[in-house]
Amino acid sequence: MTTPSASQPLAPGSIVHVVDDEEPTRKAMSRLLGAAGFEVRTYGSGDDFLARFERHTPGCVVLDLRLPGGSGLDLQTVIAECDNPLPIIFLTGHGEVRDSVRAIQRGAIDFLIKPVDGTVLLDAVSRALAQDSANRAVRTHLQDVRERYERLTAREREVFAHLISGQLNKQVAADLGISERTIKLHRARIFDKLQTDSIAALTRIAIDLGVDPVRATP
Amino acid sequence: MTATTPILDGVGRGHRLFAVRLQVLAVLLASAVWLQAAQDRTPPAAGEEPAAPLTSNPQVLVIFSDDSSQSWIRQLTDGFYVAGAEGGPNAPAWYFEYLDAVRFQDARQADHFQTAIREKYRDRRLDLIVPVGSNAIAFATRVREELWRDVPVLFASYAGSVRGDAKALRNASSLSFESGYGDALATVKDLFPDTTTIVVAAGISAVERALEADLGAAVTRAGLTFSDLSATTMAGALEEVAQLPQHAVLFIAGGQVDERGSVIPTWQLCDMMSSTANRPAVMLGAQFLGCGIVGGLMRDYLKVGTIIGERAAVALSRDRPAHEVMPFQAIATMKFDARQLLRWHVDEARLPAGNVVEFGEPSLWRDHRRELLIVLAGLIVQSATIAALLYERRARQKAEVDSRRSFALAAHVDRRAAMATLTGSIAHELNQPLSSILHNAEAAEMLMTSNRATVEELRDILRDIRSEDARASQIVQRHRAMLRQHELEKRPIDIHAVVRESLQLIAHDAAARHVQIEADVPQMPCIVVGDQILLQQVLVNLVLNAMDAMKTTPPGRRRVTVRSAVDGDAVEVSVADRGPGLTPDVSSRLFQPFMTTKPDGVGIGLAIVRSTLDAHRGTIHAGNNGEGGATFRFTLPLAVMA
Repeated sequence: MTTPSASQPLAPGSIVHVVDDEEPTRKAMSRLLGAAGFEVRTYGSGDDFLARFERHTPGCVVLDLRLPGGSGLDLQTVIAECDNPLPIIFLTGHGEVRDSVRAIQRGAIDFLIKPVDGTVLLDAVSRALAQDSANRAVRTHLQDVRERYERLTAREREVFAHLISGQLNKQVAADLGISERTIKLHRARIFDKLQTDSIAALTRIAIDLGVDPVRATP
Repeated sequence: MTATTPILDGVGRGHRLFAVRLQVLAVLLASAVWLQAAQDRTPPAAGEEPAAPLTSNPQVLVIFSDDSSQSWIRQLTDGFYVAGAEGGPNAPAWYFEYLDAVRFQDARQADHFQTAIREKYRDRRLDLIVPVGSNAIAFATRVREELWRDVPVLFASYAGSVRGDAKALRNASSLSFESGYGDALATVKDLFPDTTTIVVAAGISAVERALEADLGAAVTRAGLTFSDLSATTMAGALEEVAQLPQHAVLFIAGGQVDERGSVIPTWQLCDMMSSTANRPAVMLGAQFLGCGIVGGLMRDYLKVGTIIGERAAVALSRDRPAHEVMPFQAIATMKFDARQLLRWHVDEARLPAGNVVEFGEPSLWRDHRRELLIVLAGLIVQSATIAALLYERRARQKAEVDSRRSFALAAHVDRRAAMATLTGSIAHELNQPLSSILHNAEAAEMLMTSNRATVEELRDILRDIRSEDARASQIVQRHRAMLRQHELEKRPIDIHAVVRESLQLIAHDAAARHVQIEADVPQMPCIVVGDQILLQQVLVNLVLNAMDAMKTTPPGRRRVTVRSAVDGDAVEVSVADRGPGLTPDVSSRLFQPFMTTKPDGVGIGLAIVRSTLDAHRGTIHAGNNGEGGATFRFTLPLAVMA
């Protein structure tokens, strides 16, 4: 078996959440994932999961499409509303096409039909964790950049918007009606606060944060 | 009528009523025709009989040469009556007298006869005397002046001409007939072309001698050899006719009196001679047909009598006497005896046109045509009724069979749907334990690979696997029990019919897959006790499997052979395909549930086949056949006849 073993690098601290109403299935799955080196938590129902799962811990959810007291799709909706929605792998005894399409549309990583081969399940889990990890990295970076940007004064944000449009200091100064020397001062402070040293880096931050550039007045 | 009743059993009441009405109608119809026929056969009422002699009507005395018992004489007298009937209310009254001259030849007898006649007719007015035959003519010629001086006379001779002195009498007419010997001999030559000799058997009386002389002349004229029986005794004559020359034909011309002077009825004579003769026999008198002669162109004495009677009527109303000679054709008739034609190997097709063949094998058609027609008409009506009813019944049976077949088809479809649901349900339920077993096994494998497995954990895993396996087994058992409980409906059925119906069910499928289905199933019913639908399902499953197995077989070679044969107290049905056959691995697990070689198969078909056969106390085996492909054979115990 070419499944990931304990020696392979895994997302550290990630938890695989297994939600299935059948105890033997939960147990067997937990055992398999555990043997593959994952940390596993099992839940007998969607409510149990929502009550106990740690929202900020990275991981993924292996979810039985048919759960007692509400379908897996309902649980997917709730999970999606979290700050850090966990990727979901759906498992089902029946390959209902409509449900699988809806699940995938809502961002499910995979849709596996029971009985699922161990290799396939472990691959899917690995991919889900990697996805979660990537999602979290993006989110962390954005959070970081946003926090830095928010430290800029109103004047600095004005200058930022002008700078990312590719204008020269002289043009920005003319536009804003202040001296070129003052602009240079603001620029140094912006670079400092955003921890960058180039206009290109500024532009990337503007795109991440969705800040529109200000065009030079004709 | 009663014979048809059982056939009509089981037919609807309405139909039976209809049938009875039709039959009653047929019987009424037949009775009506029958009555009509019976009326036609009833003897004429008294008023229609020839008028009783009345004094106002002309009275005619007919004198025959022979005695009244001779058959031709009776026919002659009948002929007079026929002629008389044609004459209407003014028809003559006939008086018949018989000279019996062959046996009473001396002159004294003639005198006695003359006296008797004179006394007998003393008070009668006679308007015409008709002597018939040469002896009667001779007698009348002699006594004319004495007895009937002024009474007109019509001399009639049916063999040879009327003697001149008779014709010369005052107020005497004559009527003679050609002897017809020449014509008769001609038909003999037609029948037996290689005839060279005519052997004549004739009596010893003077008349007969004269006739024989005439006949001898005619034979010679016909280019044949004339021969005479030399014997003077009956025994000698019979000996002689038994040894006739090869190309001879025996002509029986007479011989009423034997050497001792006793009369031998001509019929008996003919019978004796013709049955003894080694060659065919003929006679001139048509009335003898049936005594042993072959037949041919013969003299019909009824016609002779009729003509004489007619001429007599003419003579009564005529002043001037006339002398006539009738051609033989006027009195001839062409008749044959079928038995003799057969005896002498004469093909009926060779007979001259216009012939009548009598005494054929008793022919109902010829003898009872009208009755037969009536019976036939009745039969036709009855048959038509029965046929119509049978047709109805068959149509209804066919409809029943059709509807049963549709039902079976529906049941098949229903069953397929049920099977789909069932397998879906089984699959869904089994997924859970199967997943668990799989994941537990994989986990154990993984732990062992990475040397992290502890004995406790492995034991735990194995225990879980076992319990999940038990759960899977329970699920299968439950479904199987459900299948058995709900579907089995045993009754005596013809397994051969089940096989044929099953093949019909999948015929379309087979054609679509280019699979030729060859069935070797006897027509003879083979009764087993079982569930028709389930057994049909067994067949369908096996044949579908066989067709599935031939996906890689070239279309031209795809053939499923289904055979059914009784062996002892069981019937064996085999389904053979031309696929790749079974691998040892597959054949050992063939009938286990969820064993499949098909990508989309559930692996339940053969398990169901086996459980169905188990429930029928049957067996199933599979193996590879010699020329490639696999054969599935199942047996079922034959029904035990109580």
